[in-house]
Amino acid sequence: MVRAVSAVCVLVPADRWVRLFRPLASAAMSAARACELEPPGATIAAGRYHLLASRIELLAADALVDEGATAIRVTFDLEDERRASSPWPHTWIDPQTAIDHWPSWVAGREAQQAAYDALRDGCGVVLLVDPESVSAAGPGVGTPPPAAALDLEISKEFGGRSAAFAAKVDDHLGRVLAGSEPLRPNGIRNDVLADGLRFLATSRPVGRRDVPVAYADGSVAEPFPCGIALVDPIGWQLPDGWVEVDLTLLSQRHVDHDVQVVGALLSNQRVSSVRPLAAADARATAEATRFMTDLLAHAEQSGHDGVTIVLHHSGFQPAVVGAYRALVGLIDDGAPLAILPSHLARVNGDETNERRLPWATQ
Amino acid sequence: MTALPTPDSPGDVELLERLLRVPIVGPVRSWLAQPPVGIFGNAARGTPGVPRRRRRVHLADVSLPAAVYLLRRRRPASITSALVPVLLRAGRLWCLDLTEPGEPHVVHLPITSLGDIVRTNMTLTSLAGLATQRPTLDDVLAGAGITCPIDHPARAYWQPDDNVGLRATGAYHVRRWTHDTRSLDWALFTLHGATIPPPSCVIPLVPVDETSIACVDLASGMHNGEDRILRWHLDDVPEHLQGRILDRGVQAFMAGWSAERDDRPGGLDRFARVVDAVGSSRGGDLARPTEPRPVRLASQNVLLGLTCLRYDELTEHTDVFEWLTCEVPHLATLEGTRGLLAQVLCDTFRNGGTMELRFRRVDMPEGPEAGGRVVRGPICAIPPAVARFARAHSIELAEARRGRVTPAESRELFRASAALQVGLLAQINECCSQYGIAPERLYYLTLEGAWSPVELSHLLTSAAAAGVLNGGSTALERVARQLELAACRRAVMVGALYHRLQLPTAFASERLDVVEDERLPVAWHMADDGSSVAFDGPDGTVPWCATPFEHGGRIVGLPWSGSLSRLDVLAELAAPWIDEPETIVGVIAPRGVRLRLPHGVVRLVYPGSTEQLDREIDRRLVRARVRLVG
Repeated sequence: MVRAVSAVCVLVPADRWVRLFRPLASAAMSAARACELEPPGATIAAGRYHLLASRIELLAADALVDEGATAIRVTFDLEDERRASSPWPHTWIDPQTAIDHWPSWVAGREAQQAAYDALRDGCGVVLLVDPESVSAAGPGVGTPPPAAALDLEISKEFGGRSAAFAAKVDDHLGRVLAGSEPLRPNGIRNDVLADGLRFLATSRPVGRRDVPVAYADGSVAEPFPCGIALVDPIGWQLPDGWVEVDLTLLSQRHVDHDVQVVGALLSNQRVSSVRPLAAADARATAEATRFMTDLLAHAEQSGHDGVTIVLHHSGFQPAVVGAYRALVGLIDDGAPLAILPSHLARVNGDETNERRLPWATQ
Repeated sequence: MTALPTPDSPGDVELLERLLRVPIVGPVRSWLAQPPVGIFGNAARGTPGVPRRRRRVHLADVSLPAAVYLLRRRRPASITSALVPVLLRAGRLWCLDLTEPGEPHVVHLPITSLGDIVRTNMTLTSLAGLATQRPTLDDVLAGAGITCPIDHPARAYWQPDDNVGLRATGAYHVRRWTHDTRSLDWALFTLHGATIPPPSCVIPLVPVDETSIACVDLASGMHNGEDRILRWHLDDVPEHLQGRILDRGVQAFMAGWSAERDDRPGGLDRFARVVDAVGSSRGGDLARPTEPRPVRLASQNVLLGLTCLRYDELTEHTDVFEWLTCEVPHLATLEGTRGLLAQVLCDTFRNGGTMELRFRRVDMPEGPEAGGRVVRGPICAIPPAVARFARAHSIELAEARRGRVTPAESRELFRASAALQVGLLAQINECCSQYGIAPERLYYLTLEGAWSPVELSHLLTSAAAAGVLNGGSTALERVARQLELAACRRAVMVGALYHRLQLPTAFASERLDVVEDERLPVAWHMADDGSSVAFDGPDGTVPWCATPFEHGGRIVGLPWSGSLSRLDVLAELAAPWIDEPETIVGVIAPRGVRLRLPHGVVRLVYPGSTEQLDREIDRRLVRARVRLVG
């Protein structure tokens, strides 16, 4: 897989940016908007957009070589960049343009701080990728991974709710751990999937520290990490000084949850848009990581030692996998965070919330 | 090529005197002036009075001057010994030796090698008697020094029996009159007089065109039980194009060859009617893929192939009506079939079907109510030319009799018709298995000219290959596009340099005297990571250089990798080549790019700006966006 890409972010001085770069950037943004037209208008607009973008990048290269413009060296994950379908897909940032989040290529706190300072001073930021830093040893740039030869039968059968279904899931998880097939979340009910993920997270697969994940549309997601030391659920209690927050997994999914929760871990609009399921998975992971990191920062500011999220589930498998992958990534780094899954269950005809095993290390 | 002698007088004897520089007098003169039946002198000599100026060896030219020309070319000593070729018989060339005055001696020598001269005691009268006898096939083969297995299938076609069916194939066979254009003796004599003479195991079977012969390679049959049919050119052709495989298996070849020949007049007639019908029905508009579309393939005003296509939306296959291709002297073996097949398969790929081909007859309903419509006729067997092409490339067509080429077979035919280098094919296979791209896409892109072979080879060394081959990233994936652009820029510059080096003027002066279709033999060798490309060719002037200077035959190009390319990296890439003798190392970069170069490395300026490069790349990426799903 193509992974780390080396690049430089050129900080173009303000006067030069206004004089040379801004007209090109405005024209490129206008062409980018026209890319949403129907062909052939979109094709022409895309060609124009890329020509303008090339001109911006070449000017930035000249500024770097001739005038000694400041440059920040960054390394970022190209697959993440591609899968995330970043809301800022361009390779430059205009100081006058408001952006919600840093593009994934402004990677790392130091780079973000430097870019922030430059933008505040009216400078522009342009990304120049070093093509030699990318090797040919993997699926190419801008191309989905090859469709895995998936055995879809098992996924179809997972829709059932019987004991036979549970046994099949167990068999599947056993084969996943043995390394004979990837985890296929499609078709697995969300509560069963969450339990299965916890089982995998605490297990040790044969010969590796994660399990591959493949979706029914042929896309292959990031492997799910394993071998995490989660607490024994028997007798587990909320640690002292931790705050409990009720969240729904996806916004606008089950309005019944709205009265019970204070927010949503993931935005339904951002995660569920049409794209390969592996890309939705990557997007969910990134969004959940960002949300939980912010939550921890707020909790720390308000004097709490940690956060327990009571997560009210809904069923979009890439969101489930992405959310728990983000959690495992954070708690593996020692973040004071826990998730207590909660599912809507029907008992004697009445709907009730059923809490499952906690995901916590403390 | 030496031109044939130009007779100023119609008489062959005067011509002979001029050629041999000896006077021909006495009874020999009158014998040669009015030779007996079967002797060369009274063979067809073309139209009297038409000068044979600057003619080359031509299969239809069976005459005394042609025989003298061939003998002189192959055995220059025959001039001093004043040998006059008068008869071809039983694998031997019979000549009159006029060296000594008086009664000439009759000598003979083997047709194939023109080796040892055997002197006989024959008189002119007995020689005339020999000319009327018909030899056996074994006599011919033995006389020429050819060893042919007794059960070889080609023997059936060479036999002098009266099998009308076999004769109808047009094959060379043993004839009573050896100046006949279908005589095996004459074909052997002409074949071994080719500019590049064949080995003795190559025996003529049937004429391909006016200057080449289809031959059986007897050695191939003995080694692997499979008779290779080779096309042997009589004229001067590049060595690697001489003796290329035309088919495998004598019987299959002869059956297909004669069937094709017999069907050609009818096929031409049907094709002309299809063209009329399509033209009248569309009123000058271009036909849609789902309508019958005539295709003509020509090279240098010579028609190579005709066919008619129609894409079937319902079953997603392509119907091919009529198939007429031929071999022509100025093109390589099977080039007509290859070209037309490439056209058909590219069309099929572009339409997005299953790549299946079905060969059909075309039906033209008669009568006013038909309105000149073209109707699909019944499925017919695969055309002999396509079957021959498949056999020559060892591709098995399982449903040939049912006129169907399956998608898997189409892929093989596409690979063969793309005619890519072995190393590039290996790269393509690796790319396809790694990225999950169908190989047809790569063949299509090469044949359509989106990426030339050297550009494709360079692209396949890049991490961005899959994206580029699928038409590039979507409009707003600019980071990915930046990497793709870097790979494409390098590939386009490498391709342009290769094209420039191939031009005859590339190594010469600044004069603009480009010769159409003339290319210098330049070979390219790509580094595994694409960081350098070595071009080996004739020595000359380094192109794209500010100060012209000579090189010794090898130019190593290091394509510019973008604004962040570093001096130490360039020096490291150049290091293995820099001390090589007669080698020039140059960094290929677009015009206007500022570069620092390591010591000993020159700059090769691509004659276009980066923006022009990007426009060209965008055009190519758009061309590659065919048949994409989702």
